[in-house]
Amino acid sequence: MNSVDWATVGYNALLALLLLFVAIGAVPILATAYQFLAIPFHAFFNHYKRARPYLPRVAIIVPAWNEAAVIGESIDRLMALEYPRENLRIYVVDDASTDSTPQVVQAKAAQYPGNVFHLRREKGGEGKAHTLNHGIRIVLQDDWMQALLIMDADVIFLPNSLRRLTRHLGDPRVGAVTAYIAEGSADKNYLTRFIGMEYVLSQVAARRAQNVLGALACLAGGAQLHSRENLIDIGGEIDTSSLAEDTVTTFKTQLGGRRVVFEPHAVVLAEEPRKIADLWKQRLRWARGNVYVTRRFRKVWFRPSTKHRLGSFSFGLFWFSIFLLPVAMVLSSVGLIGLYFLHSSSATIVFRATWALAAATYVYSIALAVQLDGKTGARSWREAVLFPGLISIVVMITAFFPNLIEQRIPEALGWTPSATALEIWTLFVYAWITLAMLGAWIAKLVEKTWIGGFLSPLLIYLVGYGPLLCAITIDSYVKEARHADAKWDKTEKIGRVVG
Amino acid sequence: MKHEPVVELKHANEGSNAGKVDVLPLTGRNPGDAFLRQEIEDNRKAERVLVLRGLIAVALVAALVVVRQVFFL
Repeated sequence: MNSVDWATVGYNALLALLLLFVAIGAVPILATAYQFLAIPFHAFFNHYKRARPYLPRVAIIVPAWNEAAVIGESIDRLMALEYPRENLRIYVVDDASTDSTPQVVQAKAAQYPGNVFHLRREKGGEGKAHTLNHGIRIVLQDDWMQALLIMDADVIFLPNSLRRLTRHLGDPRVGAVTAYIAEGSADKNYLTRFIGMEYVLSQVAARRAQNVLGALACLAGGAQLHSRENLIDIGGEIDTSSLAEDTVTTFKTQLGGRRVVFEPHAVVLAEEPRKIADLWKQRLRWARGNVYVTRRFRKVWFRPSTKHRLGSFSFGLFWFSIFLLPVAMVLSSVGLIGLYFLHSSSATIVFRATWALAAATYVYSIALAVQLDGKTGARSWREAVLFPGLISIVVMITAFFPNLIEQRIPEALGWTPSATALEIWTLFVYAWITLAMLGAWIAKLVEKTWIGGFLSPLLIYLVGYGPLLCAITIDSYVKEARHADAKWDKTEKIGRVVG
Repeated sequence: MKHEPVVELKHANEGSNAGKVDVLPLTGRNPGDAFLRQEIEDNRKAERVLVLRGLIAVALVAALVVVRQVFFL
């Protein structure tokens, strides 16, 4: 073979590699489309047929560290649940609080004798799982408890929410049930509205699809109900080895052969971060937990089992599409830019195909999601529309409606873009998905400066909330690779939720 | 059984998602099996609207595809 052949082989191999990169970038889009197309099937494949009236004795464990601002209201709300009071016991595990949490809880214990209990840990700060385990050890000491509800101190349960969870435990095959945690702050800002919309997409929508496919990724940490049998089967305690104890518990339940159900009609309200820095801290903890879970359950992925559905192709696809989303985004940009210089007509074709698919998936998923929680959809319509960011929407329009942005609009404005301008624009849209993550990171950096109050929200609306989460995921890769200290950074809650 | 005053139950019907419960609860704290059974059934039926909502979302995408095909290709 002569050298010219080698050059051709090299060229074709590089072309194929770049096309592969773009194809990898399309996988998360296809996975999202698949997941959201499965949602309507929840009309037929749900757990209601096996649910039954069931009001077991529920022990509620509330981990609390300096929660004086919120814990009293939470206890009052729990005691107002439409649930037999004699079947409710609330154990507040006070994790060595230094504020007035003990006094508030003790006052509530006196107000609701036999229903509210104050448990004090003198050595605190070890993390939520340790705090929960302190309470779990106590409730397992006798056989009163038939079901265990794990919640956060700031979470407000709507009155019918607990009984809507317990009905699924009437089916002994179900080990745990989780509720829809809606963003419930009274003083919403742009970020809490984005989070509210994210929760519609990731819970009300995506978890219905996971119900259909028979495997749930995560029980919400703030509202998860376990049967006593399940709690004992998973070891009678919560995993303390990671920052993702909720996900580990969810996996252990399903690996043990029990089902986990998401109940969309059980709604609880939670207070979420108003600043990117706080969101970053919270989500970094979650993302690092996901890195741990991916590693710990490495023998589960894509290995179908008769006992559970965690090893199914669908579940693996959903999991890794989120876990590796930033990687897919970067590869997509690299592939498109490489193709642009190597074979620009191929770049145009695959760009249009990928981004047109992204546009269709975006329109379908947002249109469906806003209907699933009309209240949040109406309140956060701007954040719903701008979830991927204004610039990404322009890029999608560029791909979906060829020549509109590059030709028709400039012509209508009496401007003919030069060839150089078009080249710069093309390279920009090809690189955008990666640049968006950079923009989100800059939004975090400028937040604490004098201009941050204006510039950070503007940047997030421009680059999108999704890229912000991806930027946090990248940070989690880096922190895990460096074995950075995995300490429990609690998100501060000040009682902004209104029920 | 200790009967307590019926608490506010308006939220039982909140939103179109939640379905409609016709059977009245016995008490606020323990509405009774008939009510709970009815609530399960109503929530199950309320899920059927997902099909319509999915179709609306698909129709929106289809409309955009038609615009694309007619005006941009």
